Amino acid sequence: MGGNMTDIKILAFCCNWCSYAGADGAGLERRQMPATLRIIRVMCSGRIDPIFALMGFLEGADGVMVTGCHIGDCHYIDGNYKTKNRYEFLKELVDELGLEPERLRLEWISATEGSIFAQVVKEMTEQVEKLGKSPLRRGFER
Amino acid sequence: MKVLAWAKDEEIRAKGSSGGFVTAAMIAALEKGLVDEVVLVKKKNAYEGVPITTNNVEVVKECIGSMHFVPLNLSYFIKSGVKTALPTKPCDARAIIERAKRNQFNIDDVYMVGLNCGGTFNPVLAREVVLSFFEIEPETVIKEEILKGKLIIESKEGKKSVKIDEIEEEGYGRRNACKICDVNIPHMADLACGNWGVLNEKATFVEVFTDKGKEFFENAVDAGYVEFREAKKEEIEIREKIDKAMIKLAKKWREKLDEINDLDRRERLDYYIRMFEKCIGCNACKEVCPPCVCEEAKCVSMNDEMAGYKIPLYNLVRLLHLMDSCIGCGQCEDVCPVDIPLTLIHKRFSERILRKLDYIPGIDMRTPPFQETKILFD
Amino acid sequence: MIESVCIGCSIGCSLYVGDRIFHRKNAPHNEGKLCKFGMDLLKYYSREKAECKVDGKNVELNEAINEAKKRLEGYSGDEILFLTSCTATNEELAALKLLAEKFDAKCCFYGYGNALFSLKDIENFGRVILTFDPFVSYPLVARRVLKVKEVYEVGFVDGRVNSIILNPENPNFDDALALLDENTIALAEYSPLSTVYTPFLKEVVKSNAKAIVFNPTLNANFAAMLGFESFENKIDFDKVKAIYALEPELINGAIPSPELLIVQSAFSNGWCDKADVVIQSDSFHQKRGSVVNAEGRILINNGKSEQGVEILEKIGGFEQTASKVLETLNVNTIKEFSTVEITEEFREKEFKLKGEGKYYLTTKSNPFLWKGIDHKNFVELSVEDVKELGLSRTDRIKIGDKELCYKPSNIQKGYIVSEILISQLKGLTRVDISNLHY
Ligand SMILES: Cc1cc2nc3c(=O)[nH]c(=O)nc-3n(C[C@H](O)[C@H](O)[C@H](O)COP(=O)(O)OP(=O)(O)OC[C@H]3O[C@@H](n4cnc5c(N)ncnc54)[C@H](O)[C@@H]3O)c2cc1C
Ligand code: SF4
Ligand code: SF4
Ligand code: SF4
Ligand code: SF4
Ligand code: FES
Repeated sequence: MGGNMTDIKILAFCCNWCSYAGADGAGLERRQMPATLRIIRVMCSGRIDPIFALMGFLEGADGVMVTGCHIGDCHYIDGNYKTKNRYEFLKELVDELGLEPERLRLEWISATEGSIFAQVVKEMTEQVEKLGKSPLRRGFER
Repeated sequence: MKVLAWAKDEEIRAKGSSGGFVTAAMIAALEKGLVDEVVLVKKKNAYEGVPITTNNVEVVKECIGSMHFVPLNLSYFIKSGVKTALPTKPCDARAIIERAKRNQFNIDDVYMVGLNCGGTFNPVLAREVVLSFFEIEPETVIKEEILKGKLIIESKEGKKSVKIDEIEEEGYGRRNACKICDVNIPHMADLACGNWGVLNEKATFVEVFTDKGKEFFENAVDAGYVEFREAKKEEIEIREKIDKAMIKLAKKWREKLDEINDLDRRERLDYYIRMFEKCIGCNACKEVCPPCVCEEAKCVSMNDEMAGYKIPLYNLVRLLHLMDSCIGCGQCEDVCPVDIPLTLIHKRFSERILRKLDYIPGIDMRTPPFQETKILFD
Repeated sequence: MIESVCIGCSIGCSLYVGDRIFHRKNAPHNEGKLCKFGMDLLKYYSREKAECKVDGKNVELNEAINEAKKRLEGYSGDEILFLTSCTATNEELAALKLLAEKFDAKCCFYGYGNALFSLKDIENFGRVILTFDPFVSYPLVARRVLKVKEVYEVGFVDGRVNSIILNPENPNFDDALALLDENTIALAEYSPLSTVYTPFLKEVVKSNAKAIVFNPTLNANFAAMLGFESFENKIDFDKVKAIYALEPELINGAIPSPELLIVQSAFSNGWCDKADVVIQSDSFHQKRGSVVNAEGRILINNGKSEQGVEILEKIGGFEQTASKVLETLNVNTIKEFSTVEITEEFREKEFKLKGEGKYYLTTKSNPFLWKGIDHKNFVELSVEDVKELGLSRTDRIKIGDKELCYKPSNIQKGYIVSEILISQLKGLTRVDISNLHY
């Protein structure tokens, strides 16, 4: 199963203040990060329009992670409240559409939680590997 | 307040689809200056009616009667800052509320004169029904009516009636949106008018919900255009009973028309891919969608025809944005040139999120959950 | 709101035109549905209007009419040609015909008159053979075709249904012809882009299979009923000294330059620029009149203006237009949505593969293209060619003198599929592509 590791693509949206710092931390601490990961940094998770996640899938991501500061810690106060609500819409949409729910994940990760970030990415990669490539992938790469 | 009301003017009462209350009260609202304009449906023939905006009482009189073969939505014709009264089927009323939420006009300026609604027919298919079930030349139809679950067609040769159930068994009948529509009495409007509960008399059953509705009703009575009496217990019960039966029927159709339900996850994805592959990107579904008011709509601006995605982003964005605002009016499906069953598809997506929320689009002025800034889910 | 007809193609979808486009669900042929062009119709109508001009100078309408009359009278019938793209009402076409008769001159159009089936009839066939992609060209056909069990598309590139692929160097229709039987209907287009299919259509017409041939212009069928002559074959352009062009806006190669060119048009275009006399007329949705669509269905445009007809009647000094329309339709009154039958003898046209280059360029017909509107800025290339050309995602390409974006697609290597007009109005053409490396 490990052989096709690199074929799988996981897209992670990270907010600048917490989860991106966390991801950065994970890198600094030289934790093993799967090569599957692609990170897109946004200023606040509230900026992550579910459309971005959908575009991620359409562009060929096999899994999409939405991450942000813990509830209460958002630098723009209520940015991640919106994230939470909109993520529920996204989750239901992805499920109804016929993608496996395991291809989508929401995590609150603080700047100091590099290890958790690494762990989550590892788990997600394993889960998605079991499912294989996303059926929404195009027949060709752009 | 539940009453039986009718137009004092004998001619209006006779011509009205029930008691002519709606027409008489519209005239009263114009004459007493309660509203500046009314939006109505002007009949061309049994299969065609055109929305018109008027303050001319004579025109209002010409617009009398219910048109069951005219599936349109009147919400687009309300102008901001103009006091307007208009007849609203539940889908018109819900459309108006969603548009008011999106600042198209002030809801206080609008008098929603609700019409109970059991459904509308596609006019082209209605012609086929008239020909094959009634054996009447479609162009000779003078009048159509729906009473007690029967479609009644009147031509020069006389009247004929056929049970709607019978027509629908054969795959004809009301639009799919109407078959699965489970709001018959427009309780979100200011008042609701209908024939359910009216036994053997020429009257309109009117239920008043809001202060605005009361004002509209009383204006018509005070002006001497409308007479009324309290509805009897028996009449109220009959109306409730039919409403319940119709809601049950809608649930049945909801199951029956859903060809996606039996598919497994992967088949479902294939189904959606197959459906949206047909989309020719005409944007008609967005143009007619009452809750969609964005001038620079994301569904259009973010769509990239060159991307070659398995499902166009346009359709996915619409699915997302309609999850908390689709009112099930079926306008999108009516105009889709490639016949994608959009109403049901939108319903499947929205049902999932609405199930988790104490929210139904188009019934009150609450903020749509997608725009909400406080956490709504645990 | 005015009951109107979309001028995009010979399907002639009914609609209402007001502040916005409103769907006319009662129309039997389109049930209110429209394609992208119909949805965009208001944009089309809001283009720059033509202006009445004589020798480049702005004049009043009456002066333009009088000048047109005076100048036309300086020529004899065999020196004058009346022509139209048929984006005009029955009444205007009939008036044009009467005017031509007055001068004893030829009257011609581009198109092919045929109407024996309705769009709905397509659903009753067991097999459809298309020569166009119904999701791009004549999209109102798609929903009918989708109800048919066996669907084939004859063409050069792999379509989305069963494809019968033609050899570009030597197109032969044997495979498609083998499918013809009484349960088969062929759907085709008559246009400069589709000359390659005429040998096929000729066989269809002879066989017991059926056909509907769509025209890129709205009212070609009525022009055929009036006995207009076909533009491409019979006209000796060398003899023509004066042309009167009524709504000539179908892109059709070079605009002729006779001694006298009179153009009657709603919108400003290349024809107006070259004309000696321009007569501005109202735009289609403002007109009162009827048309005959691809089904032979009489459709009504319920505007107020009869100016288009009045102009022609004034020039010719006659007023029998209305009766000419009734007589041609063979009816007593014009009944909306009723149908007439039309069959014209089929005219085969020659196809020759033109151009030089590595790639075969195929163009998909659509109403924007015929109106000269670029509604897209990209073409489709095969995934292999994208790689071979070393195209990155943001790169642009150049074909002829046009700079374009591209979309990778699952078509065969060596082909380009375009929905816009790239060089001239030809069917399959050979071209080269250069990578502009943005
Ligand atoms: C499509 C439809 C279905 C209906 N189904 C039911 C039902 O199942 N049970 C029930 O109790 N009542 C139903 N009604 C309501 C009923 O038919 C009468 O309209 C109502 O009782 C008012 O009667 P009236 O005589 O007071 O109205 P009138 O004085 O006759 O006035 C009717 C008004 O409705 C407008 N109108 C007509 N057609 C439409 C349309 N398609 N959309 C919007 N406005 C329109 C007219 O312009 C007119 O102003 C339905 C009405 C419609 C239009
Ligand atoms: S959607 Fe509902 S309210 Fe609207 S016309 Fe149909 S049945 Fe009536
Ligand atoms: S998506 Fe369709 S059914 Fe839903 S509100 Fe819009 S037009 Fe009506
Ligand atoms: S109406 Fe149908 S074809 Fe047009 S954009 Fe909507 S889904 Fe696509
Ligand atoms: S271009 Fe043709 S198919 Fe499209 S809306 Fe106009 S008439 Fe209909
Ligand atoms: S700043 Fe991190 S979620 Fe808002």
